[in-house]
Parts: sequence; C-alpha cells; structure tokens
Amino acid sequence: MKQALRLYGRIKSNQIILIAILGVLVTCFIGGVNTYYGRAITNIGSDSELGGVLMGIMLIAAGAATYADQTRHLNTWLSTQSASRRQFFISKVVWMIIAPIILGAAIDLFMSITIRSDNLHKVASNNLNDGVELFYVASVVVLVSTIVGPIWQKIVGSFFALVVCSSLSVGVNTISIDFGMKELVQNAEFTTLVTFIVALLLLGASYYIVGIIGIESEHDAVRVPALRWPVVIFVFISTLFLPLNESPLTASSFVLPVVLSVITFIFVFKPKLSWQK
Amino acid sequence: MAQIQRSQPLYEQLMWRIKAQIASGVLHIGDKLPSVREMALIEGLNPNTVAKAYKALETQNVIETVTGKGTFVRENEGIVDDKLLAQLRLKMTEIVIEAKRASIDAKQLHSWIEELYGEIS
Amino acid sequence: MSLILENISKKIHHHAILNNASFELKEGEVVGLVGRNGAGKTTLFRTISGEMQADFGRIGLDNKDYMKTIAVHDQLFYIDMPDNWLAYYTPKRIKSILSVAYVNFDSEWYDERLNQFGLNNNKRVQNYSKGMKALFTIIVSFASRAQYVLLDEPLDGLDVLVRDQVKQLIIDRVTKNNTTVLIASHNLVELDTLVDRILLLKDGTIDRAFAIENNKNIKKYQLAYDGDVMPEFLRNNGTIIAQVGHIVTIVFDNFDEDIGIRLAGSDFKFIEELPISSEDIFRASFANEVYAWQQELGGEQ
Repeated sequence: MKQALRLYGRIKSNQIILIAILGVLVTCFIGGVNTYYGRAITNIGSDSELGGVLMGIMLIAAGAATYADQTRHLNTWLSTQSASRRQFFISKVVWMIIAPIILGAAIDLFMSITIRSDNLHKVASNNLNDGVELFYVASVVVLVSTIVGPIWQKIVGSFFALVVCSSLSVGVNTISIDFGMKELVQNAEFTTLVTFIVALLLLGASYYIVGIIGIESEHDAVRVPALRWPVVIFVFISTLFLPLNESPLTASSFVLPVVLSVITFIFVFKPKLSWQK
Repeated sequence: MAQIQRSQPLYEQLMWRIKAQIASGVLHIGDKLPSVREMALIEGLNPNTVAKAYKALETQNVIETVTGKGTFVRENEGIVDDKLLAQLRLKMTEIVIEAKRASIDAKQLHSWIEELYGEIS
Repeated sequence: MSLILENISKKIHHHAILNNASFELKEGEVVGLVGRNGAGKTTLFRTISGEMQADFGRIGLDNKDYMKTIAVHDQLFYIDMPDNWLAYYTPKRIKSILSVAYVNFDSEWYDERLNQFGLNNNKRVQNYSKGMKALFTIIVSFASRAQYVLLDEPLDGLDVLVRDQVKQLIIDRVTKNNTTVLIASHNLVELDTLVDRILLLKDGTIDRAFAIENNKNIKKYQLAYDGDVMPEFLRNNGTIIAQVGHIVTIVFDNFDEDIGIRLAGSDFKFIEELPISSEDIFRASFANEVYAWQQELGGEQ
C-alpha cells in the first residue's frame, strides 16, 4: 500500500501541488473580494461555507487531473507495477478525494482561527458535513467512472447518476417523514453518518470492480459484462419512477424512460444495426 | 549426377578470419577478443555461430576463455589436432589441383610457401 | 531466476488471441519473438506484464506465481511505446518516478546515457525525434535494472546509426547485468545478430522455437533442375523461396536421407547448400501461405 501511495503521489506530484495552490489562491481571491466589498456582498464568509467551496473546486481540479490517467495509459502501466490495481485505487482516493477535502477544511479552519471567529465549532461542523457530502458525490462519480469506459460517457453517466441520487435522497426523506422518522431524518449528524456509510459502500463496490476489469474493456460502455443489463434497467426505472415525486403515473411518463433506455441499450450492447452494413 | 556443394560453414569462416588476424599480426598474443555478442554484431553473425567458432578455436588452443575476464589469444604452442591436419591437406589438394591446371610446377609452389612463412609471424 | 509461461490463454472480445502459449526464459538470454502481423505478440507482452489478465495459465518468476506475487513486479520492465504516459514527462521527472517504481533503478547509468546520446533532460519525450524516443526507451528499460526486459519492435523505423547504437546498448547490458531480453520484431535479419533463439508465435501458441546452428533437419539449397518442369517433390517437401528460370532456392523443413538422395540424382544439374537464416525458417514455417500467394502471383513457371 505504501508503494502505491508513494508511486502515484510521485507521478502526480506536480498536479497535487497545483491543486493545493489552487485552494490557497481561491481563498486569497475570496478573502480579497470580501475585504474589498465588505463581508455581506458574497455569501461566502470566512466562518461559513468557505471550506465547502474550496473542497468543491479542488475536487473538480483533481478530477481533471485524473482524467488523463486512462487516455494516457497510465492506469495500464500501473497495473504492471509492484502494487495491485486495488491498492492504486485507494491511493487515488487518498490523493485526489480525501486530501483535497481535508485541505479545504484545514484552510477554512485556519482562516477562521486567524480572524478570531467565535464560531469555530460551527465552522468545524459545517466542514464535516460539507466534506461528507462531497465525499459521497465523489464516490458516485468514482463508481460510474469505474463501470463506464469512454471518458465522455463517464461524464454523462456521472451527471445522470448524481441527478438520480439527489432525487432519491429527496424521496427517501419524504418517505421517512411519512413513516414518522421525522426527527431522525432531520438530525444532521444522523444524515451525515448515513451519507458517509453509503459513500463507503459505493467506494467499496468500485474497489471490488477495479480488481476485475482489464484494459481490453477500456472502450466498452459498461466494463463489467454482468452489469450491462442492470445499467439499462437502472436508467429505465430511475427515469420512470423518480419524477413520480411530483407527477402521477401516466402513459406519457413512459416516453422519456423508454427513449433513454433504448439509447443506453445501443451504447452498451452495440447491436449490429441492419443499415450499418 | 550432381554433387552437392557446400560452401564453408559460417563458423569455420569466422575461425579462419580470426586465425588470419593472428597470423598477420592484427591480433597479438594476450589480446582480448570481442565478447561473443559483440563479435556477432561486428561480423553480422548469430551469437550461436560465434560461440561455436570460439569453442572450436579453444579446442584447437588458439584462444582461451578466462571466466569473468574474457577471451584471449593464446601463445602458439604448436599443438595440432588430426582434424586440422586433414583440413590442411584438403586445402593443399585444392591448391595443387588448381596449380596443375594453370601449369604451375611444384618448385614455384615451394618458393611461394617459403615466402609466406617468412612474411607471416 | 527463470521466467516460465505455462499454457497462457487469452480471449479478447470472444476471439482467442493466445491459446496455450508456453516457453521459458533464462537469465542472460536474448530471445526473439516473431510472428505474422496481428499474431498476438503485443497481447502476449501485455499479458506477461500484467496489463491484461490471462484467462488461463500460469506465469512463474523464480518459482513464484508472477500474477499473484505483485512484489516481484519490479523484476520485469515493459512499456507500451509509443502510446503511454511517459511521453508527457521529461527524462528528469521520469527518473524520479521510476526510482520509486524500480527499487534498483540505476540513476547514474541513466544520466550518463542521456548525456552520451545528447538527450535533453528537460524536454518532454513526446517532443523527441523517433530515433531519440527509441534510444530513450532502451535506456529507461535497462536503467530499471529489471531482470526481464520486454522490447516491442525496438528497431522499427530507425536509421542505421541509431540502430547500431541501440543494438550495442542491448548487448552491453545483457553482458554486464545478465539481463534477459525478449524482443518482438519483424526484422529477422537484424534479430539474427542479437538473439540466442527465436520463438515463433503462430495460431496463438509458440508453434516452434529455433536457434541458428541447432537445426539438423532444416537445410537450404540453391539448385538448378534439368528438364522443363520443376520436379514435384521439391514443392511437396520444401518451401520455395525464389525461382529464376531453372534455378530454385528452397528450404527443406524436414530434411532426411531420402531427400538427400533425390537431390543427388539426375534431376538436378547443380546443387549448393547455403547457410540458413531465421527468415528462411520463418518462411518454411508458413509453407502453405507462401505456396498460396505464389500461386496467386501467376502459377507455376
């Protein structure tokens, strides 16, 4: 594991430093804007939500830094090295997800301490919540990116999955309230804990899958053959049932699900269409 | 009926080239020969061919390999094996046949041999 | 320390690319891997190195299961040139990265070679010329001090001078460090001056292995036949490499006494035995294909 962390860290060292610098620069920029305009103009003050913004920006930068791992065949070469694919997976999670989140929180806390904010407890708690939220978002993106091959499909798939997940969580909240679990659901610590556990489960699934796929599936829409049908069905069911939050089930509500599922089916299974001959 | 002709095997050709280099003074006693792989590159031969040549030359005591150091030209101890003698005689036969065809007499051949013994160290 | 492949099989999208490929590589050997275009040489390299997982079979390094013992992966070096991440880095950065990847990385030798060949340490490898890229690949492969180095077409498209330098580097490292090199190449003529033996990859398996000087049954002749028609037995027993009028150059894959007797017979006016090269053996291994295209080109002469 140490080898994986060292090696990946060494390869990405320039990018990791740039991401950290980016965090600092954003902080300076926001601090500058705030000072210039006075605190109220931007929503982001040094004692609330700065951490979340920093984490978000650095995570996006980290995502951009890892996109080339596949196109430049770095992943391929890493799989020949003296650390397993799964170890490198953990290494990437550490350097590209956990590190930016922790750094964002650290900068925020540091800024809060320097301006002698009284609300350190709130800052820390906000950062914890934001951190877990973003960790969960990252885990969804990671799972989709692991299952899906081509880069643009990873991006499309990630957006889709995130939309589904946010609708899901709204739905879960509503149902929980109906079942009388109102206090539990509105308890921030509880939701944070659940979110964290779900994120870990999703990362666990990615961890498992990473060990079984090979470079020959790099261009496949769904890299795990067993998941091909489940993905198409998932697209159908999620586009069908999630809007049910707001509108009832009618004939027209089948249109979008069917269209999207067929498109997904074509990309996943690549059936030989007769007119292509 | 045709007789199958065989040109001299490549490893033997290499052996004669090395011996010629020793005889003409290009290679001296104690000189280090290129390694098998280097010689293969230089001569455009396969390493196995060079290895075969080196081995045969070692059997004839023309060169010797010191483990870890390399292959060196040996002092000429004058030990000759029967196979070598037979080959020499065969070559002489070819020369005599050609000479007779060209109407060159034995006396001429003798004087050439004397000259060559003098020229080659 | 031997590298032993046993029954390696690999399917890609339902096509069997490798089918029970087996061979052994010993320390200090230089071995060639040849085959027709698309025969699976690159797939074999990718499967050995771990880029792809074999569907079936075992790879043993020093009696350890190579696929399962990832700690020994620094004993093997393979880089899928030219299409890989190295191109985006400078030699300086690459040195820093590979020093972590390969515990015995020889930084001094690496720097000396970069200097010797005038390779710019601060220029990204992708901006090198083709010859410099090839040289760099060789340098980095051997600087790793891995026991096993896999080279995929290292001499491809290089000018004569660079080729000589590359070949010199290879034999220097093999001699000094006892490195084992497996070279995949189409250029059998050049391979012949480098390798101890050649493995032929055909139909997904190592169809045959041959070494110059070790083939008692393979013989090459140039002969002139009597009469108007080429004796049938030539085509039935050997692979015809060239033919001009009545003069035929032919390789017999399974030379025996019978063939020898017939060659000495009245059908032939002149016969000379020629030294055999790996190209000749390659052609003889594909006798059917050679015959087929000769037929296409215009039938018997």
